[in-house]
Amino acid sequence: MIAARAGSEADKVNDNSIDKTQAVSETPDVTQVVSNSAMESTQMVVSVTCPVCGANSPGGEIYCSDCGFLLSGTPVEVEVSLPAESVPKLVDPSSGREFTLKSGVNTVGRQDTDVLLSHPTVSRRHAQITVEEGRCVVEDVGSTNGTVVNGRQIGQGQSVELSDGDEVIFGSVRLLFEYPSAAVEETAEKGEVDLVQEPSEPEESAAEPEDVGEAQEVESEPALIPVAKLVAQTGEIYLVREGENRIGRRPDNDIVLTDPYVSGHHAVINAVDGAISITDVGSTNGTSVAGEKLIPNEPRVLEIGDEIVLGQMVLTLKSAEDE
Amino acid sequence: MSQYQDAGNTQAFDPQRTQMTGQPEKALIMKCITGNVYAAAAHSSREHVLVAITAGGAQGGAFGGRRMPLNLCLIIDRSGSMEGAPLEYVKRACGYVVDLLEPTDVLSIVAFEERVDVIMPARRVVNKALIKEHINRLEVGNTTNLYDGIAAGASQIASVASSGYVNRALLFTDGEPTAGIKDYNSIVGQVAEQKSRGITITALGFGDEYNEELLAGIAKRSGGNYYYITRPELIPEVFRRELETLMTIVARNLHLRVRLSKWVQVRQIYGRLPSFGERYAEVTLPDVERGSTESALIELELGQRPAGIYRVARVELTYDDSVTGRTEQLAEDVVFEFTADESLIAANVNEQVQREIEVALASRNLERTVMGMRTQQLAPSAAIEELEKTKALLIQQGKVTQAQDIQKAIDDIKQGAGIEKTLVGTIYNLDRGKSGK
Repeated sequence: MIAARAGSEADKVNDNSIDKTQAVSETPDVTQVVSNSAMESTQMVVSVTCPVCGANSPGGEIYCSDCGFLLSGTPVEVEVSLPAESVPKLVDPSSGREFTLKSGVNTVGRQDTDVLLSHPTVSRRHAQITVEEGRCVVEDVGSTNGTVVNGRQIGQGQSVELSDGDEVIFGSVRLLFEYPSAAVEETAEKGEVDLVQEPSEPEESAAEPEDVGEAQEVESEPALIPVAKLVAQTGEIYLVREGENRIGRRPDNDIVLTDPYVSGHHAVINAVDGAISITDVGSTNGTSVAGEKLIPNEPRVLEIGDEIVLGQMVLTLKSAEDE
Repeated sequence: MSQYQDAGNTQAFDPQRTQMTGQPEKALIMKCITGNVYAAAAHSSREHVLVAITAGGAQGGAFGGRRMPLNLCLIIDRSGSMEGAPLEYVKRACGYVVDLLEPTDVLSIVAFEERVDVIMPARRVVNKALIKEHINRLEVGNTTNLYDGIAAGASQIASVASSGYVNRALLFTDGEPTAGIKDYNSIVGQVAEQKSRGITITALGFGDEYNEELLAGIAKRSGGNYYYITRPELIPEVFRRELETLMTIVARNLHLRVRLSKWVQVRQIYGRLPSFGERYAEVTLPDVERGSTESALIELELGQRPAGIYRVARVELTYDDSVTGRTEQLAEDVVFEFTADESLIAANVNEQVQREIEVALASRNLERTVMGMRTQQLAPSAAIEELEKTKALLIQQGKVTQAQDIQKAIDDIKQGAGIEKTLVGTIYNLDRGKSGK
């Protein structure tokens, strides 16, 4: 009904631009832009400032081109704090899609959750983010494919505080946490900010140097300590080492499998700080873990005892100490 | 008749849609129906929008008897398990297809087992007797190379370079892929690629052995239909039904884009996989036949704002229109009035949209039941209980056909038979939100 009403208004506006100009200039927030008046055919173009969000829309628009407000209306005085830029949110960097986090518990998952991620690698109930007094804490609630913050896997039931710019991965959905308010608040209110930031700082300073050191080590020369092993049904054992382990049929892999159904470059196992994951890098016949087919280029967390099928080979992940 | 058309009559018609003399009316009508007239001001809320796309409208049959010519490929499984009655019925079905086609249509036939053979390359249907002779020479082979079968069929369709056809492959199989590339993601990935080239695949699964998840996945990703054929003697009938459906297609290559105003997000489009961009969500919809309705149920997250009337989204549909012969665009504003008066919100819930939400939930329940049965975490008695609940809900929402499917599944469980094939089809149809026909 409203849409139809708006449609006929559009007709009016288009049919009679003089009327439109007059009608609009009655509202206080109008700035008039006159374009090239030398041209005969040129009409006056009026840009209208939206009383709600302050954006300018070209003349003739019925709705604000930014917030959608019906420009011929007047916003009703209601006590409302417009969504400021200072709310915590998760942003999908590939699409710009945003998930605003409300204060309290925000559930994350594939079905009926606050942060709704319709992706097969996300569990129905995957994680939750609690927003409380300016602090945001993420917790994995028993997901299949895990939650990773800044490259670090969160154990089940464990929680991690997020700060602006953190990368959070649910299953294989990568999001960035944005909460720029912290910096603004720092200058505005002094006392409270300390409370917000202090808890996270010691944690970070303790963890980071260690991280960096290890990462560099891996790059310069591969660590030789096996962190786990893959045991084939036929009895062969392949060692999984810290860092990247490339698996495939070609000799340039770290783990070379001779099965003809294994692709030249089939998959990669990453072992970082005790967390082991596997990624199918686009193999012909696929990789499955615990009976579940992997989506190419999407990492899957591995656990000791997991059965991995590459081509026709069945490998079981065992801890390095295991007999 | 579709329920949307009925509902449409009660609403004011947009005067802009009046048919202009001398120009054919567009094949499609799009309506955006909001789940409520009002939304809460000053609070964030979730509201639904039902986008109903109807072909034909009041002028349903008045297209002068013209139809889009078909560029059809029959992709036939001739693996060993097809021996005997199944293959004989498939031959008969292919013969029917040939009888129904006209010289303006293009037909190709591909048969696959371990190898893939082009039985007949894409050409106009002129010498029907000769085509049937080719069909009758079909013989069973060994394994099932589904991936290469699809690839060969698609390249036959692609070899006819014209946009003036309804491009469609009918994929008929009775088994799991056993040769060539067999994994779900690679096969469905190929199907998605073919879809982006304008080729749709209808999946026809026959018997008890085929992989229903794979076939429904193919149909869903492709926007084609999905059929479960229980007995060989039904094969010709299903082919005939699909062909008649194809012959009434009036709109192809549908792309729906939801442009969002500030403070608005799309949470989900039920049963579909939208892609997201800066301030929009977008989804591809299946071809639409005359007299039928395709719908998309969208859940929006509306951020807090002062009271007033707002356009929260603008829904744009582009598609190839077989009536006007052009690519057409339809657009409609999604408008809510934001109010602080909660009683207004409570009193203005749209029942039709509410029904669709219930149906979407029923579909998710079914999915969970199928998964529970498959992983044997759900005992048959518990599954029956769940199915009875879902059935009651569907009857309440007027989804009689789907309720009957579920009754059949309940009977099957009681007899110890598998139910996945029936129910995967039911879920598929519920998710498409299709009505009419």
